[in-house]
Amino acid sequence: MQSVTNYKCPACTGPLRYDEKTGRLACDYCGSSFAVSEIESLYAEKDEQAAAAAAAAAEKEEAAQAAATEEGWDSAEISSDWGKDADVRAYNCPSCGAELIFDVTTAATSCPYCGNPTIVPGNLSGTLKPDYVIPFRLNKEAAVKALREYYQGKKLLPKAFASENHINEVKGVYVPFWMYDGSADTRIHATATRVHTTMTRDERITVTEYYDVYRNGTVSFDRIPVDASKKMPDEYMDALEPYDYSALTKFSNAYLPGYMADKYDVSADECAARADDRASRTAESAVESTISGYASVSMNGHDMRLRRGKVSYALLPVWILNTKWNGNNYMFAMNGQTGKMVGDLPVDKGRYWSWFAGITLAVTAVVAALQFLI
Amino acid sequence: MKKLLLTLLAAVLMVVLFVSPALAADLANVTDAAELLTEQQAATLEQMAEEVSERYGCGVYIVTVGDYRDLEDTDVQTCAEDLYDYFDLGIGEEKNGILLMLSMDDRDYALVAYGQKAHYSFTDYGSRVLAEEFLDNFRRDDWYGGFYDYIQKSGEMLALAEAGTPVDTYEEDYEDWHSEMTRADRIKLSVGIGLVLGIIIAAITCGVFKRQMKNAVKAVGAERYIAKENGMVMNEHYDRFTHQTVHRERIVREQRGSGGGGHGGGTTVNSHGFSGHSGKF
Repeated sequence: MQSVTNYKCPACTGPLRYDEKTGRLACDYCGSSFAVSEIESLYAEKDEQAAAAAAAAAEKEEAAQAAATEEGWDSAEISSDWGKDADVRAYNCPSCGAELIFDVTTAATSCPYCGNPTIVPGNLSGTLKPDYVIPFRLNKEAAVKALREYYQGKKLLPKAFASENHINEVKGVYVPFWMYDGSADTRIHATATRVHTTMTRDERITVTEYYDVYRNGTVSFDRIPVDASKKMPDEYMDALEPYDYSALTKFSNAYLPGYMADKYDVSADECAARADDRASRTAESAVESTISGYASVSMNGHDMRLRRGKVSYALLPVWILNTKWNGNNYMFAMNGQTGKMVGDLPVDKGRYWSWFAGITLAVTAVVAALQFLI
Repeated sequence: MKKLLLTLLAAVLMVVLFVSPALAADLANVTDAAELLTEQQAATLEQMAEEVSERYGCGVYIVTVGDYRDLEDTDVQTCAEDLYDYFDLGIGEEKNGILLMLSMDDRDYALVAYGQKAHYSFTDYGSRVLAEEFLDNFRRDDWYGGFYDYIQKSGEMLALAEAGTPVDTYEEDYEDWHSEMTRADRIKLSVGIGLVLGIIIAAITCGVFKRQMKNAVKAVGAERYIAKENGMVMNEHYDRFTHQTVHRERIVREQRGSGGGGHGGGTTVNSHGFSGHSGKF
């Protein structure tokens, strides 16, 4: 059993949560609010004390188990630790004492019994500690409102979907991302042509000039994000871009209360291939775009050399909304900073074919009518 | 010598045109003031032109001059029309006839027709078809060949007109289509075209609607992450000219007449009662 952190209000001991609007930690019980840095320094000391207490408790528990084994029931086949054989860990909620079973990648969540925001410090410390975080700027209500608006104007959405589907779960999640800096040296060799046409009284004279074109350019990239969580579909996380990096701040646990947070479960090396691919494509097309003013360009060859730079680890804010309709689950994600909503909606086949038939008939009628008018 | 003859002809024509119109009736079917033809060629063509003119009751004429501006300072087509008028060309009460005039200095030509029969036989489209027959010869300075083709083709076109099927287009095709197709056929055709068009438009529109339902797609580029400072630096670049190729294509010009164009078929007749067109050869 490991310990977890639960930021409490220094004034009334109520749970603190990160407030998107003020950017401070707020207490819903006494109305106090604290700067992130204040709570950080306060809890740095408390964390050390908690770690020491946990170690002492573990020792005590081991001693008790040793004593029980001598004369107790045979419990040899019962697993003593959730974490040894499965990808789960057990923790005690510091507020109500309930045993919480978490995925090993979970770094922050809420207690399902008392609702207290809870942080698992071990999962976001040491080498696993993120470099940056973009705090949530939009709250849960904004996410729900954005989802309703997202339904608007979708011609093929089943009529009952917007009214009948219900949101099962709305959760704010800090999704782990790797951010890659680097550059790409691109060399392009091409044959290009310019065409001039002149007319005389009897002839059209076309002069085609051929050019040997060479470009060697370096394109530098800052912080190409790649989602580092297996739980999050890549296409959803990509579609949520862009984030405004001006809000990128040094990571602190104090931004997490009230949200879920995962640590990465895909390494920076594994994710690098996606960043490389995106950088290569963009670098090639950027250098290629400098070949202009020609009638035709035919590539003879190109060469790409990637220079990998710094990799940062950041948590980016995402609202995840799970809805259910007709027995099927639908997931939507909203950028917690910009409000951009992504998600796949169901297609009403009846509506699809109605539109298809309607447009076909309308065009047919117009063409037939025109024939008689002309 | 040639210039002197041209000047003399111009003088004669001026007299004929402006002083003594009565003499005009004597102008032959082929008048070669520019001396493009031998005597024998001129005689052969004269005979051919007379035969065609008599057979169909529509005069077929040729006049060549050095520069039409020596006759009057207008344009080649007006000059040809005036020649036609003042020489009193044409056959019958309607003065049916067609005149091809060549002005050699600037290689201008005019083809003018007068009278109901001539207008019916030499439609706007037909007039251009006729021009195509002789222009290729004239471009090669094959004067006799060109005039020969002109008289022969004129005869063929007069024969077709006599048979009730003058060389014409568009209007004729359109009317044929209308007369040959029943109302039911036309409805079927229109509905068929509309249906195909409708299906294509519906497929595109519904495709757009469907794409709106799925916006979660993997990113393929990283344009927005190009560094703001020194995002792209060109280390080396050049554009070196290597060689060039030259392609020459002969222009086949569509002849444009000054008498107006009837794109819908039929014959356009100007306020002086002439149809036809002019151009370069």
